[in-house]
Amino acid sequence: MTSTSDVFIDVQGIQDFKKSSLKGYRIAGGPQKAMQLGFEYRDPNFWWFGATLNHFSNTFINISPFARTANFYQDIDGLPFNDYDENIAKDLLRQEQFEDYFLVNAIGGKSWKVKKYYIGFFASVNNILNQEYRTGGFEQSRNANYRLALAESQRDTPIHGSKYFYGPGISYYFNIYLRF
Amino acid sequence: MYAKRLSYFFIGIMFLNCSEEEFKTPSITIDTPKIEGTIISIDAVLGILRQEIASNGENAKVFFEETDNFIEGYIVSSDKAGNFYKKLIVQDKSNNPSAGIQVLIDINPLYTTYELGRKIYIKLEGVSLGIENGVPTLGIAEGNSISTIPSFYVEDIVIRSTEVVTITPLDIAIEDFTDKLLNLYVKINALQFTKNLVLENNAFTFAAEDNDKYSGERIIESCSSNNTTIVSTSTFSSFKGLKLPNNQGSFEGVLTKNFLGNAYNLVLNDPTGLVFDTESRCDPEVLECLSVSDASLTVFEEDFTNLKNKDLEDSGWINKNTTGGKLTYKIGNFGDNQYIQITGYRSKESLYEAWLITPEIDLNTVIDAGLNFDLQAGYDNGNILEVFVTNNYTEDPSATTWIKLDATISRGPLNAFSPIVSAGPISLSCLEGKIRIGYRYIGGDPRATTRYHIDNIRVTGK
Repeated sequence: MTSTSDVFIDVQGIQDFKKSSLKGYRIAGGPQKAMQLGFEYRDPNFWWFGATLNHFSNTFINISPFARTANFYQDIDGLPFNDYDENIAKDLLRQEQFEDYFLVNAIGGKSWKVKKYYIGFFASVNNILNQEYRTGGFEQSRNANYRLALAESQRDTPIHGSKYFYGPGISYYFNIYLRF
Repeated sequence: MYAKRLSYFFIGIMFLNCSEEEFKTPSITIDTPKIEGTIISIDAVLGILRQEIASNGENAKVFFEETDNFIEGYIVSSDKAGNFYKKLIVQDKSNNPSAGIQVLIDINPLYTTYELGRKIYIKLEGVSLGIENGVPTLGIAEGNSISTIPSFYVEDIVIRSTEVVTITPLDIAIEDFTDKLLNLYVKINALQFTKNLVLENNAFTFAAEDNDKYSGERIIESCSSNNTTIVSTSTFSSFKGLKLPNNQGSFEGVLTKNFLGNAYNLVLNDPTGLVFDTESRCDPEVLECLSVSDASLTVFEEDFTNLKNKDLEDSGWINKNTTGGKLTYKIGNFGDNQYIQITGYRSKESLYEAWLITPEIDLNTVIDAGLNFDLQAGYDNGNILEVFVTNNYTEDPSATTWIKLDATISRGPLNAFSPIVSAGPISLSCLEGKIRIGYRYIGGDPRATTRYHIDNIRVTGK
């Protein structure tokens, strides 16, 4: 079995893994679909508040191109693994899609005019529901081979699982200002 | 001042979407390996070995050097169930094979790359061929033996073809066994494990008995002839703890030899190689002759008085262990009475077949012959003694055609002795010529070790 590191131990210089089949995979890097519903109110007495409801979906992991080369199915002699199953391979190479998530944000503030100065504050709370959500991630190239990937998929806790980026939980922002 | 309240809702939607398309997995391209050399048959390399042995003796080796020759063949062994270890058995064709060879490889497990039915090529340059454990073996010469091909070297020597086929086993019978059939995937029909190994509630396992070392050897017998052979199972196999089936059926596996290389062995790839689907057994019919009345002439008599173990052979008895162990019959005594006894208890032998065969008894001088003997059983954990007769004894008890006698084998308690009972009379009236009576004791320590005392063997007639 070849893991990525093994491949490079045996080969000096350049090894050609041929084409990487990337057709049909999604671009990673943030959600591909976003919806926002917002409300804002401004009072004549110089205070205001607003809230937004945001829904993000279609976020995908950044796939490992190396795992989509011939290295995925080839045993050391270049023939496919004798237990290679196209359907299982398809499951192993399926691009992970992250769960959709909702973010609720609120903002409000007030200001006063004192002589020729303006004094004011505003406060915002982001992710009020304290959602835990993944904004992105990438597959490691360590399991870029059918047998390793299969063994990994059967583990309760993966050893070389994908790396994920998480969005922040509930966060507060408070600001006082003096304008002159 | 006019105050203006301002409130509003807003909705925003953003899509970054591409077409929903099924994703691709790497498309498999298979490059058929190129064999740059001459392919010769397994039969041919075995011929080379036979020549070498003919001129240089049993231990001769063939060292392949400066050759571009390859052999090709199909893998017929699988170490998936752990019953083969660091070896491949390769035969020349997928059906009707004519030659096979054993290849030693220092990789475990092998089935993940070299699976059952895969066609492979073996580069002969640098490897050696000789007889190991009685079978033709390819590997790396090391001292006076053939050892495994190191793992880092295997890639260069053993080349996989893209072809994986179903192996059609070669139909043979036990009496067909010859060295030409070694290392072939064979099928033998109508077999059963010998009765004493599959006694009710006390059946032997494949290889998980206390005294099984490295392998468990079990006697299997043919229902179509009187031949027997051994099924050998590694104690490292995953099915070693399975009980032997007590019905009859067929065997599919590899014909090889035992560790000492002096007896044929059958080895399973996994337990599915045994298809025992015929419910009945084919245990031998007992001899039925007309019953004997008042016998007045004694043709043969032995009460073992004043005999010593070594005297037996001098007076024509045969006392032989046919499974290669040390267990044989011995003279025993209780008080003044001497008898012959056997027990496998504490023999540390996991399988034994011991024969006690009388000197020749001439029945031509009498009619209505009958057999009598006294028998005592003790520490009984199985009814494992059987009595046979033959009028055509060959030098080897296993090769002799025996007829089973309807002897009453007494049963004893588990931790003491039964009383001495007479096992006769058994009529021999339909036999003529020179006969021998054979006592066959088959079992294994510690599962079948019943102790028997045999005394006062008499053949009478009138």
